[in-house]
Amino acid sequence: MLKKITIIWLLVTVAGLFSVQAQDVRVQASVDRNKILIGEPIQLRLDVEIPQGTPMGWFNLDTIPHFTFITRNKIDTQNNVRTILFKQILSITSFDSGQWVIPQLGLTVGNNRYLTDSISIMVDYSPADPNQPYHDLKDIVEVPETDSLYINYILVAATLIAIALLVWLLSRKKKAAATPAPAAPRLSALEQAMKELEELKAASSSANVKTYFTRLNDILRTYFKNRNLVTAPNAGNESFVQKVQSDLSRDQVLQLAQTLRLTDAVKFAKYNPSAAEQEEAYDVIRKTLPIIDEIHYKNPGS
Amino acid sequence: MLPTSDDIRQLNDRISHQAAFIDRLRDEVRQVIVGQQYMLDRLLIGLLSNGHVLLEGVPGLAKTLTIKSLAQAVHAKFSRIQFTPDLLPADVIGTMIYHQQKNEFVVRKGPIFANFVLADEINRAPAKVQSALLEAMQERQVTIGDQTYKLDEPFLVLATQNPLEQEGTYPLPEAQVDRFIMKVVVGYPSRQEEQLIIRQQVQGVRPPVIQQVVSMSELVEARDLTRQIYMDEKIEQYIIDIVFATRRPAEYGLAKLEPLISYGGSPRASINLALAAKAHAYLSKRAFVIPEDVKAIAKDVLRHRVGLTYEAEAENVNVEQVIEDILGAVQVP
Repeated sequence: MLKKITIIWLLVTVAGLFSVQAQDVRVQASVDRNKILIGEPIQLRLDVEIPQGTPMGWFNLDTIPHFTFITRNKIDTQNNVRTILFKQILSITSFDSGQWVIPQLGLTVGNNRYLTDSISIMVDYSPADPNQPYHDLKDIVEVPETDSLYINYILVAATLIAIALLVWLLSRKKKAAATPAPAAPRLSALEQAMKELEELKAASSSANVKTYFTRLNDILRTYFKNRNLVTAPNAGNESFVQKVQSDLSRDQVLQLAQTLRLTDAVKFAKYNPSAAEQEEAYDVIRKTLPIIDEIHYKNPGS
Repeated sequence: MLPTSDDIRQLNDRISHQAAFIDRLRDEVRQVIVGQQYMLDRLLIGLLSNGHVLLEGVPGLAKTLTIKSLAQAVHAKFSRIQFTPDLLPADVIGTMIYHQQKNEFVVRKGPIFANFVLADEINRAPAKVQSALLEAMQERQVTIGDQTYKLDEPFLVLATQNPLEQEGTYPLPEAQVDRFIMKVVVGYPSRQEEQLIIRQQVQGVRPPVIQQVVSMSELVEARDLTRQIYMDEKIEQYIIDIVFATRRPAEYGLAKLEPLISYGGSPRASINLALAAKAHAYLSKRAFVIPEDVKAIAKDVLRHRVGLTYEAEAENVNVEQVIEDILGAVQVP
């Protein structure tokens, strides 16, 4: 009988001890609010109190469905006489509207596993009342100008000065124009070329043959330029011939081409032409220019 | 010693006689190539001035056929290298291979050992291969193992590049492009030429075999004569003016081009302009250079030597327009 009483007493004592230890473990999850608007933060607080010296593994919190972690604070500890208190605050939010649940979070203390309570969270849109009237954007508010008056005065003064200056300048120009200048006779492109050819002929006896042919070529080039037949100064002799090919007879084209080839040979190949060749080249240019002018410009004075 | 008037006349006679092969060459190539006279003339200029030519044009413009036909007409050794991203320098210049019977390494020469080398789509190969080719072009010799080999004369590299597909390409750096005497832009044929091309191709008639119409010795002689062609000081000044106008356009009344040009032509541009102008004069069977010769080849010689700024790109100004403006502004002697 005494043996039975002893066994019962021992069982009760051990069970009592265990129950005391279980009562010392406290695992709790709580939030600061259960209803948020999309994206608003929630403070999730985890509290664990266990007896001193008891081994424990912390919550494995990688993700919570429908929620996003904003910040994770460090785990805070507080030593009491018999127990130790762990505390962690996590900032979470949700971008999904609806009624969501933070599930039970598990924790192992010693050989036992403990779970927190699940927490229901309502994630909602910002309140909007469709019955309320819509308001347009506000109009631009006119601000009275205070300095513009002075600017206007300055502008008016500047304009008046400018007009006065313009009138003065114009009157000066008129005065200058009034003094008669000797009117230079305006020559046509052909007349100009003929005049220069005459001058060249007059100076032919004294001029070096290369200079003579260069000048002859230049007279032709200036004529073509003045008549807008080619884009001088980049035009070469070949382009002169090409330009008037359809206007002249075959013989005339041939003569012009030969003359220009001779010009090139004198200018760029040290060719020394005979007096007859020099005379012929001059004559070809002298005769060809009026023909071109006649074809392109019936009125030489134009 | 400067040539006298008589020297130039004698040279003129020699060139008139010797350059007859140019017509034969043109006629022979024309049997298989319709049009593309401009491209053929530029290739001949490259051949006569001993300079390499870069051809740029979309596929299908008979670039390869023209070069191949030219090589056949000269009876020169021709090789074609298709540049690809996985090409290696050894694929171009050659390499050492192990000979089992001889128990030693022997040299296997690459396709660069030819008179006419067509480097097709040169910008498709990486810089290493491009450098190997361009070095060989410059030095006219190749080193394989510890042996240096002289390349055959005449040695002419004709490189092509496609201006359209730029993805996965390795554009040639300015310093390397400068080694080509000319960059020729190959254009489309005319309507009549294209009609003729269709007829020739659709009829399925076998194209005539190109005959050798010029010997290598004739070609070498032609090169010598081209070098002797007289260039007057005025023409030299004209060339210098053009090249200087690419560097300092404002001095030639082209201030508007100043912000559009990032760099102008190098002295190599002047040299090549002079050489190509001489070759152009040779094609015209003339023993002296005239301004038209310079103008005719100026775009091809300067196109790849004048760099434009981003401002030019933004304003849709291309290098041709810039050169055109320069040629229009520089006074012809």
